[in-house]
Amino acid sequence: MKKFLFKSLCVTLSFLLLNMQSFAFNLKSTVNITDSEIQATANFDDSEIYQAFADISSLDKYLQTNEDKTYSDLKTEDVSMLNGVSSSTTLPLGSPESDELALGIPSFLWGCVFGVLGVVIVYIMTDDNKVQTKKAVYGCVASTIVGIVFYAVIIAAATTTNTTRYY
Amino acid sequence: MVRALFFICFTFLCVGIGFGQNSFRFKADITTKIKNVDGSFQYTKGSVCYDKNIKKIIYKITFPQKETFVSFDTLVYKFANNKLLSVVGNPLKPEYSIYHFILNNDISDFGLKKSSFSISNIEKVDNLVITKWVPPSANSSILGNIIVSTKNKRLNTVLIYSSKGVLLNRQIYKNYQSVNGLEIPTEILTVTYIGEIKKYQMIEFRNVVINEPGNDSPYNFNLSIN
Repeated sequence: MKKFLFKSLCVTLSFLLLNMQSFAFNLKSTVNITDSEIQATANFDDSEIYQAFADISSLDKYLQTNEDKTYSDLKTEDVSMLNGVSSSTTLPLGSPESDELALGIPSFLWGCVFGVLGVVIVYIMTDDNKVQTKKAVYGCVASTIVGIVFYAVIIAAATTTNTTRYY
Repeated sequence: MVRALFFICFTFLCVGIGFGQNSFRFKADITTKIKNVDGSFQYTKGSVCYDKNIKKIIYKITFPQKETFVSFDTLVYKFANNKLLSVVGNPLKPEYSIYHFILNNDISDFGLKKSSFSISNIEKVDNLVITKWVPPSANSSILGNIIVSTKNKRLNTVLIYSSKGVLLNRQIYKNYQSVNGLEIPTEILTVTYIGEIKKYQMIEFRNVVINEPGNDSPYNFNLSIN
């Protein structure tokens, strides 16, 4: 009987030890959900999102009944509905169409390597995507600055060399 | 003995057919509206179809232009008038898209269960169950914690924070429809926070069809058209 009680105590204590260990692990790995996170989740008024699209509600209603109409059709029929609406397609859920690259090459590189011509190529190939065109312009400006600095250094070096020869 | 073997084989066959009848095709009309940070709008309308066995997302766009986009593996192919116009890279494979999650009934956890994120805490606030997901290593990514809330076991809100604790993106999943036993959010609202500026996106699904019989060709778009 004594042996049985001793064995039971051992088993109980080992269970207790294991449980305490798992509790200790859980407490260590838990990061509380803060009040601001709860507020941001539970108390957000989504009416501001609907309000943001109020300006294109007429376009939305029109296209629900005229499903075959395209941007160019509306341009000739009623251009007022396209006020502020871009002609570029945007695919949802992580697709990259809004950041489409000309031939898959970054726009900055287009501007950097081909200068103004690169900017024009990006503008045409990305359906006048302003973000990509701006990147190409930055590339163009960057390469121009680098070019100017490069030539300035060469001219300065040449002048110094010439001056040294005279001495 | 032969009878028993036959019975076992028959049972396994039935189970196999049962699994085979799971949801595998998604089709819907789709509208995407975006309000950019400069106040300009982007409006795209068309239809989308996806077969989880083929793993190609096909967007047939009618507005602004009649174009077809096919997302396959890590590429997006753009077609117009049956001609391939461009191919661009896309880090989001179709098997990580919302369509795949919907068909696998995995949408309630935003697909995080199969990611490297782990659950840190769960709380119930009113009728919302809020779960905090933490990245594997806070320093290894620009992404920080993700807060996912569910209402009646349906995905309700997703908040994505930066590693510095700044709210980057908020997604709200609304107007659920039960089609073929699947819970499908027909409205997805997104706000992206860029400092003090906000970018809004609204996605709407209409006429959702699950497991459309026959009509195989739209789901397996031929990418070699030229």
